[in-house]
Amino acid sequence: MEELVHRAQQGDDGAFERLYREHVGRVYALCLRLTTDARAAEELTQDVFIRVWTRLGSFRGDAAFTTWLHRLTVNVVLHQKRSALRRELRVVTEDPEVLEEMSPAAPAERAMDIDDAIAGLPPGARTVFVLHDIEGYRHEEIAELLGIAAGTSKAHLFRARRQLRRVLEP
Amino acid sequence: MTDHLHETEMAAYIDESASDAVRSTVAAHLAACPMCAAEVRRAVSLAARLSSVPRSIDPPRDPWPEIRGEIQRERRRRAARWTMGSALLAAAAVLLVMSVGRQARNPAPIAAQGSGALAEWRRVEPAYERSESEMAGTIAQGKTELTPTTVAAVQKSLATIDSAIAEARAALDRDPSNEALARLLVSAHERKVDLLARATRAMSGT
Repeated sequence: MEELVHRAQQGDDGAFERLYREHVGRVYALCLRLTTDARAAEELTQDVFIRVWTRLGSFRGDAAFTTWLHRLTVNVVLHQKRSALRRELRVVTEDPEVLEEMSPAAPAERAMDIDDAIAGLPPGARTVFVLHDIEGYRHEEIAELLGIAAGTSKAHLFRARRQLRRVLEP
Repeated sequence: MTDHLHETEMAAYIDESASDAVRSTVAAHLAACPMCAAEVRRAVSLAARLSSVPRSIDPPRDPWPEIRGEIQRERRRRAARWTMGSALLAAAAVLLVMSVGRQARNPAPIAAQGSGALAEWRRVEPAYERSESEMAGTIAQGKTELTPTTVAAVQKSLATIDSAIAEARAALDRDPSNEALARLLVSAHERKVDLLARATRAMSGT
């Protein structure tokens, strides 16, 4: 991987395309789960890799390339959605109990696909859940990324998990 | 039983990160509380389902062609910015040399100077023309990023200026000491550089 990154940094287009091929699925999945919109996720995936190309020179290898890439992806998605996301988070965090009431109505009578269930979470809770339980971010990191308190991140996560348990109950 | 387990206790119990003391407290609570026991079963089930969530999903349509196209456009923009910057720098250096030379010898207009300014111009003219040529090349490579109307206007203006340059140079060849002709030539080159710089800026989006 390091060799591929190094070659891409030197302007090797073939190496950059291989990096893209190896990571596009992870990037798209993350964009899709954060936005729940396939078209937006595709456009954001494009933005991410264009950003990767323009910033590859600044990647020094202090962290793994995948870590750098995923953080960049999260930043691109959050930047794109920041205004709306902040509005949504503010509404939810002012009264955390409202979160469940705001949830899109879930079809309770059928077994749901887990990605459908995640997509049905309120935006703030979904973002925290995806970052924490799927991407492995810590609450402190999520708090920094989203500009919220770590306690708020935990509250979102707990409620997201509770909602998912109920929705996914066989 | 009114005090149910908190999410943190439940999570720690499920992922086995709870201390022995907490673990035994939770176990005792679960034995006595069907609600929490059911919640823990659902949490275990959710954790199991999460572990099978695909971390990678192929996009329905491969966005690589768009990414590659944008990268190529960005390359051209960068090349244009670099070329414009270096060419303008070269052109500015040429003009500075002429200006300093002129002021050092005589603050009067170029037409009133001796043959020094003219000789100075002749010495630096090739560098000036190289700069113009580089900018023109960059514009030719990236002209698809300009509207057809802009391309046509630039080409028409360039043709006019090139014609003026050619006429001034031919006249200067016939009358090599004519400072007025030299000033005309310099002015035409300045206009050409200005036009090329504006076209390159429009192309690079700056």
